[in-house]
Amino acid sequence: MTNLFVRKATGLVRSWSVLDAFVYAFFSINLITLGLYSFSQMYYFEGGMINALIISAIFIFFEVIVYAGLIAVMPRSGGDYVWQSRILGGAVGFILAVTGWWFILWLWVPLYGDMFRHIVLVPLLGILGARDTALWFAGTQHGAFTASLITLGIVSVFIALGMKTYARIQKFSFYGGVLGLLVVIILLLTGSNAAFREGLDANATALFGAQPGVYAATAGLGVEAGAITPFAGGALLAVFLVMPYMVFFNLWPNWGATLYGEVRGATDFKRNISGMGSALLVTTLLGILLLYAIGRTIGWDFYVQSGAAWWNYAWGYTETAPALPVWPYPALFAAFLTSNKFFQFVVVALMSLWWFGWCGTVFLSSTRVIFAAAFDRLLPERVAEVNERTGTPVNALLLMVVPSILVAYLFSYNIANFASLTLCSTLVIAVTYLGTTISAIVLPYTKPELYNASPIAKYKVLGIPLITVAGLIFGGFLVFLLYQWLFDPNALYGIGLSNTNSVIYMLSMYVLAAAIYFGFKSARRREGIDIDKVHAEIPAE
Amino acid sequence: MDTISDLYLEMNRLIEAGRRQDLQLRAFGGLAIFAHSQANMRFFRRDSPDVDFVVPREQRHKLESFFETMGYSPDKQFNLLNGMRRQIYHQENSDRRIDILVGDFEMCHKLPLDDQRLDVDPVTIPLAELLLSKAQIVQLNRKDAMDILSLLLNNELGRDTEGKIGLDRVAQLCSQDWGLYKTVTINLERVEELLNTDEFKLPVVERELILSRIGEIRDAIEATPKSLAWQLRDKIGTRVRWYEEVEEVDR
Repeated sequence: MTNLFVRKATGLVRSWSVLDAFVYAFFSINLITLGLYSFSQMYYFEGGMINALIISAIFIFFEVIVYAGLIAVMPRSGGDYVWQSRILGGAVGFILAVTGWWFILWLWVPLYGDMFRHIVLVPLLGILGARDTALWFAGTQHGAFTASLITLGIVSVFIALGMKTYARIQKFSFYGGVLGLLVVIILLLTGSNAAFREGLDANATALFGAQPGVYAATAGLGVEAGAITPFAGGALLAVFLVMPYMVFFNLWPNWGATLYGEVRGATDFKRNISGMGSALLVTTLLGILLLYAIGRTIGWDFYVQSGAAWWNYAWGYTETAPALPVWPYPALFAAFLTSNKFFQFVVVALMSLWWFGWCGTVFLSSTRVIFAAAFDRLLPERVAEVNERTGTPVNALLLMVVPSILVAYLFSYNIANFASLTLCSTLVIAVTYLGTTISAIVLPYTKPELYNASPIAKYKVLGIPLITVAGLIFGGFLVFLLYQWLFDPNALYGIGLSNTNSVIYMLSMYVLAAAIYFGFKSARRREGIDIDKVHAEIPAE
Repeated sequence: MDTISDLYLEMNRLIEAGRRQDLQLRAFGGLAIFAHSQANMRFFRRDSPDVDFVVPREQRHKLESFFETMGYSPDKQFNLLNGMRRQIYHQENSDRRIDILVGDFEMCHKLPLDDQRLDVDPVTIPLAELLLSKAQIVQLNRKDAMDILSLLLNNELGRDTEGKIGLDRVAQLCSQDWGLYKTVTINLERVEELLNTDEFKLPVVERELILSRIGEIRDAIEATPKSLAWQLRDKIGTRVRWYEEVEEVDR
């Protein structure tokens, strides 16, 4: 009987495979949405874009080690919340997790909406000949707000479809999106700058009503706006100063951390590393290739200048509207290298899959944190209920959607200078990650039984647990980022202590989280439930 | 601890109550094997099996209210995260647990159950799928092997509408899905080897009966035409994983 196995109860096939987790991680550091959006805003740095991309990826690889390790030790839905509350305590865990995985995601909704209009709506509508509608979306506050509302609708449907169906959507978007990107890169590598200039002038005029000479006018506005960021090079300090902006794009290969309770084989440390790490590696390499291809045909200087011209006006630093009345989208520029409208449409449609495959990330990870907190009795149990007929977590979705509408309104209409708070979206999550990183650093010492029984206990560097070493390196990186964002000694990021609105917005979220935590803890005590005891136990999955 | 008879009664109580509320519960697992092994219990050795059901996907939304009326409470956390495909209910004040697969049977391999298959047998999933639900287990343990032997000893091969193990269905499913074919044929071999040890003092008639049924199943599977996709997958073989990973519920 040596060929029979020992197995316990009826097994469970979890919703996601490791490939699904990889695709989620790949889309979470989305080169086309987050990447191109932030690259276009990073026009005023002295450090090289490629250098910052590579060095930040190296630091973020240590983040991957930290999260892969924690997942292997405790593969639980709720991720950061579960780890921090069990290692650092309930108050820290709840406050940092709900701010970083729930409240700040309200601000991400208008950002996702902004990318939706620039990457999907405007270029497709333009190619289809709906010029006025395209320009309404591209250049008006109503258009921006409407794009956010559509985003909320699409995301809510995706969440309602469940993890497994969403994984299918992601996989389809992954294959289609990568195909589209390869076509864009080939177009850019085989095109010429002269053909691009000609294509831009012809198409921007025909599709979006730009004045002839759009190339030269955009370049001029970019220079006036102070576009200087080089493709590569720069002093090391200058490169490091690019990274607090760069991480808006690539800090998130661990974005699926809260979902790993639903991923097969999540106790396998090496698999987790390969899933998130390969997403980081592939994205970084694709980023280098795409930026090189952009520089080759569009021209690096023009690319940076076009971003500068757009954002200098969008952020209200100039009254002069950009000569190109739509966001400078490199995939659209690549499509302009051909005059075939059908081909242009196919290329941009394929590239739009980068947005569709990614947009669910704005809420999907967050719902698991809300569920985990509700199961710990720190939120009403109703929050973790699903509609019997549709299986949709309606209440959890409402907690995400309703405040997002308000924040999207503030952002789209730039009330209280909300449009300047883009990087707050990254700062608050980085604080959450710092809490998790500290949990990882101390885990082998504060929970030795749990750690020693885990598959990561055998990995050491000079006798020190790997998770501690990785945590110290990544934690140092996060401290550097937080220092730059908050104190902003070179006035580069605009969300630090000098921006009162930013400080009030962020602090109000921590105050709200603390009020919920202590309020519920007190209420539960009156019901005879000791929340501290709940947090002393590892939750069952 | 519940006896097998207690659990069998409870299984039937739930199925009957479900029927009255248009909820089509069909058993699989140990109790279903028990139900189809009444003539000869030689291989059926269980102290307290789980109560396992499959329910059509479109009836999923009825489960929570139904089981609450039957004295069970849902495993809310588990059902929240997995409820589209799997649900768990616990009987209040006891350790009795009900495991429910929603829609198809999905473990190491998928056995589609949507196409009226739950109408075939009033209590369990059809015998063909019941046999395959055991034979699809990559990490086949001794209990699973005994369950396969029990089913093959107690049930004829033939048409499932006549209360037999649907040979056509077994062959059809294995000929559509190379992965299922691979695992099933490996496991039939394992069961044969087990039967040929001296461990069981089986009468020759019974041993020959089971061996002939295994042979018949194997022949039927091999004789059924295979699609091009199946044949291409066959060329790749076991170099690429051919089954889904199954984990314990509590990991």
